Amino acid sequence: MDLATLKMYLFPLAEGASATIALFFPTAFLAVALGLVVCFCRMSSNGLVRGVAKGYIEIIRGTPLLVQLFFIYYGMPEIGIVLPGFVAGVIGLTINLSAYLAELFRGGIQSVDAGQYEAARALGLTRLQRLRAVILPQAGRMIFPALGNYALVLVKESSLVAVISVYELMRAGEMLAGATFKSLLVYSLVGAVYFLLCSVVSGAFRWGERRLAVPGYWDGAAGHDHLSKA
Amino acid sequence: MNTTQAGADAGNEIIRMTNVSKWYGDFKVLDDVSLQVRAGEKVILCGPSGSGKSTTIRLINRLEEHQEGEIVVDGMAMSAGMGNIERIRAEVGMVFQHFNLFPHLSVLENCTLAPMMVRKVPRREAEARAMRYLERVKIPQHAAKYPGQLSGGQKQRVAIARSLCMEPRIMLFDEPTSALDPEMVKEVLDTMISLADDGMTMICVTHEMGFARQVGDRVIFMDKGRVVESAAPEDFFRAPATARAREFLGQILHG
Repeated sequence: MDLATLKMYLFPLAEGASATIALFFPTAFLAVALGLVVCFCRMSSNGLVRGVAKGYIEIIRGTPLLVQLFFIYYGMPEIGIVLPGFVAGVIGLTINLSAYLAELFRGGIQSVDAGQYEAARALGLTRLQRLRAVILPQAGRMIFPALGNYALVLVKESSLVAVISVYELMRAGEMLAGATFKSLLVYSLVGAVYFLLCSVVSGAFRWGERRLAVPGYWDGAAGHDHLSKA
Repeated sequence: MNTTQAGADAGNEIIRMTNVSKWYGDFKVLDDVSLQVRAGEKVILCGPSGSGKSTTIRLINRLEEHQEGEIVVDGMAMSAGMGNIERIRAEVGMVFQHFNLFPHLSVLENCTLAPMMVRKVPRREAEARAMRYLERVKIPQHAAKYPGQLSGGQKQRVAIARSLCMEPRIMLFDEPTSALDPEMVKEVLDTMISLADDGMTMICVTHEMGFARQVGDRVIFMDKGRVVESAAPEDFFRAPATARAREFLGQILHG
């Protein structure tokens, strides 16, 4: 394979990969933020707020991402909302992921032992202080491995936005395959690049687990150490 | 705030519960409970399970809310929708049966968290204070460890130190030794005895009758949500006035 051929394959794939990365970060950030908001709404003492959050979670989780993307990109223009493909992709992926994260966060928060809330209250911590210093650090560790899974899912599912003509890794592969008629080679390369991106994400989460590890309590892989009730 | 001040106002009433009742749904857990505690006093609460003794002390720092009657702690009346409940909680330390240490924080951080967040004590001072109280409970060598690395007795002593770091005026103990292995009970009771000797106001829910005799100024026996007896420990143990208390003592002493 000469240099020109190499360039012909590598450049579009590198460009596509960087677009996939550019999709990943804002989506991951926004999905976590929105997921937290939905989670707290879902746990609200206000029945209406709780109901709306529950409905949101059920509807989003109960419909395909592809339908959601088409709805935003092709459907919304009919009511005057026209979004560029990239923006529509970020919004679609964010909304989709936020529903799953909201439930993950809720599970994490509810897994924190009631005694932890009581001890924090008994020490005079306000609701916000309890959440910040006692509940979220424990819930965060609890869900951290699952959060890593969702990050991998996001990397791979972002390939779906190719169908709303966002130029990212998958779309780059499609165009390259169309131009070269070497589908086997091109999609092998596309798969390899996704695998590489996922390896980086996995590595980042493994590093995070080591950083967050607490002796006798949590080491990431095993989740909570049930033998040591604090 | 500290033991000197606690000693200075010894004898003044610091907790008053008057005709307090509480329901969980239809079930009346507390029935017309009245109780006064003077500063520096050591009160032992005992009774069979479900008698309302834990609920009673949990009302004092408002981990639970009552529906009828009046509760005044350190001059502040507890009421629905009261503001600044944190102010009372800062003055009332609590030690739990299951320790409830924060597992993600080191022993030192467990002790500095509330003083820094609630009392706004600067970190260095909070750490110095934490070390002082960890020495007090004879565990300073474990300051850098995490709760999961300690034995039950050590955890409970850290929990006591964590409460003391807030320099509370009242300490509540909710069955502090009942989750411990027998060989660890003594180290925790010894810590509580030394605290009592310093003049701390203490309310202890416990079945440790030796401790009750040695430390208690008064034993309150509860049954089915009511205060059945209130007497000096020697009188209560030697000659309980009610059949219910006699039966209870028979069970825990020979059970």
